[in-house]
Amino acid sequence: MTTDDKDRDTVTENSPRTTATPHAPDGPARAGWAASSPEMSVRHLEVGYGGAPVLRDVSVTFPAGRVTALVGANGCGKSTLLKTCARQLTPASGEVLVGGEDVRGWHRTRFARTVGFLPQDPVAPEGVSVRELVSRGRHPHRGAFGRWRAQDDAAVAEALELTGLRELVDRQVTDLSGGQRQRVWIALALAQQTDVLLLDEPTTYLDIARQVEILDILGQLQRARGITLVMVLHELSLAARCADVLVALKDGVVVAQGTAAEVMTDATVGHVFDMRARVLHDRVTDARVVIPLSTGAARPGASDGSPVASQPGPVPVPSAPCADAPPGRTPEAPSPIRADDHEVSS
Amino acid sequence: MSAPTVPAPLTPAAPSTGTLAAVQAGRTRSRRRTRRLTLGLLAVLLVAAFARVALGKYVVAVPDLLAVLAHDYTGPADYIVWQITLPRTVLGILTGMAFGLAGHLFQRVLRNPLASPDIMGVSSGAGLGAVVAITVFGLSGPAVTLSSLVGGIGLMAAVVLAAGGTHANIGKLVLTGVAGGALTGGAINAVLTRADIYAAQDAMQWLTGSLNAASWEDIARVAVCLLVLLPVCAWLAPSVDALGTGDALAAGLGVRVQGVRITALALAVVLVAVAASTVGPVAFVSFMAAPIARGLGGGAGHAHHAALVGAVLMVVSDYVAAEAIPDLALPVGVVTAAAGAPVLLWLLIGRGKAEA
Repeated sequence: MTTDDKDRDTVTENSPRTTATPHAPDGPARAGWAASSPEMSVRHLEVGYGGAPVLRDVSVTFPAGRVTALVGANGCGKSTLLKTCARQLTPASGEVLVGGEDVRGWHRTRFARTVGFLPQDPVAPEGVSVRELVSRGRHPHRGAFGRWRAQDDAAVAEALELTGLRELVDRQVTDLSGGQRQRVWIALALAQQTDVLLLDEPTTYLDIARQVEILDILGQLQRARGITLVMVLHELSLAARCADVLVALKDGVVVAQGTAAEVMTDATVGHVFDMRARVLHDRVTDARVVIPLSTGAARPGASDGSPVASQPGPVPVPSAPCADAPPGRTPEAPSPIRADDHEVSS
Repeated sequence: MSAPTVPAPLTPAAPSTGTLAAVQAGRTRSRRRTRRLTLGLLAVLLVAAFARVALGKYVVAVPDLLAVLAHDYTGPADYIVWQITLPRTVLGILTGMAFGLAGHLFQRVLRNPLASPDIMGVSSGAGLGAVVAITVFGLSGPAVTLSSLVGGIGLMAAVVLAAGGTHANIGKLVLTGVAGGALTGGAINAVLTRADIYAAQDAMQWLTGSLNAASWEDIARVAVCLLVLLPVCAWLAPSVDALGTGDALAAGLGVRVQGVRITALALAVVLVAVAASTVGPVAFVSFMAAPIARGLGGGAGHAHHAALVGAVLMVVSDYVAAEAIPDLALPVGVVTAAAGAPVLLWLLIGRGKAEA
């Protein structure tokens, strides 16, 4: 997969990788695959664990054939939203839709063939090889008594290849490193061959290079297959790097959604995390980096978010983060998300 | 507005033949390994069964044995084989399979190698049911089977309820089971101390686990139960395996997690209770069978291997119990209990290494 990364890097040098515009919903369709993947959406979702509701009247659409990242502070409800979409949690009210169809009545098998879900802490059983574990992704496609067919082998082989696990086919999963193991779980989800894939923090416990590796693999897979990919991500800069759409939650409510340019602003990041922060935008790579300033009540008015004494950063970017965006990027472009109940942050 | 370049190797076309071949080869290899182990275990079981039937205190030569089995022989060997050694061997095989399979199901759906029916108190529950039936009500035969079935299922239901219902945390479930087993063990002792001395001795013999009283009626009962439950186990096997990767992932794969777990546990409880009602709650066979099968075969372990290992354990232990010390026939449960302790240690040490 490293060679692929290099290929993409050279592309980036000439024309800065613009995360937002090429993936706009009315943009050019990609390779026919995107058209077949349905969008996923939730409407007026209320979810709670008995006590106060964790999600309050959440309505949001994850566009078809795009990468959506759910971001927000700990306990904001982003994992709950993902789990509800995966039918791991039953909402108190509201509905989960795939391609506009309410999934409540769907049979378990039909749902598992359409929507894949990788939880945060899957268990690696002892004594199981990479091939065997990835093969378990075929479960919803197998017949009674678990009959195995030729197309199951092909799906497993494809998933192993896409995740760069070709050399590790016969290794024990428990012997692998964290990054390799995470690739095995992603391969399992890919072998499930779903049009929608939900990932709960796929990069937890990994070092920065491994996180980027996993996200690059996911981005390539998503483009190759045109699936609708939704993931919960903690690291904002990485989320901005890989997602077409960011959805920010706070206290069980969607407070911002849109492209990285739209969501990754000083004000929004400060509001979502209750923290004064500056968002730097690098012109060459189109990357956005969050500089945390201080926690506590976010008061954008006070001292305008500028660090007082030492400002060693080489790029003193003005606080409007998209003023220097490369041509072709229009921050005012309509959000790829259909915002029914869109609460815009201050 | 140009679409991002899709890297060449990532076209969603068929995978390269290399990876596909490796996947197919790996599957063929593991299928062959599975079959080899199945045949090997069958061979060991056959040898052990032959030794148990023909090489006891009364040795039967092979030609005589064949004649006896063909009902073409008159003499003492006919009685010995058909009334004593053959029934206890067949019963040992059937109950061993039931114990081994039950242990596999418990350990698999609870994802814990220590969570077997004997350690989680199901055997004690079945034992309490049987002891009450024997000493308090003076019952015998199918009534004891029924009573121990009620005891085993009752204990498991109580454990699940006490742990907080079917959605209970697995660790809590296992610990509650251990506590339930200890409580039931105490209850058994309480019943025994108040029981008539002869009835108590009968009950004691049964509790240790013994094939001495094996009869063809017992065999028929266990065989019918296995014939009904084995297809259900086979049908459930893929879902049970899928639980191994955690509840959330299994649910994402379309497995009805709680339903499969409760069904598998109920199946295992019935298997243990029916087997235990005929031979007693033979210690540690459920506990040992699946880990030994996994150790022999590598991989995640298969249910039918665990069943075969259970059968081998029962027959070999019974042979050792009967023949190891001259003039002293021990009950089979003594030998399996003695063998269980090292396996427990091996498991603990092995797990310690794996986590280190």
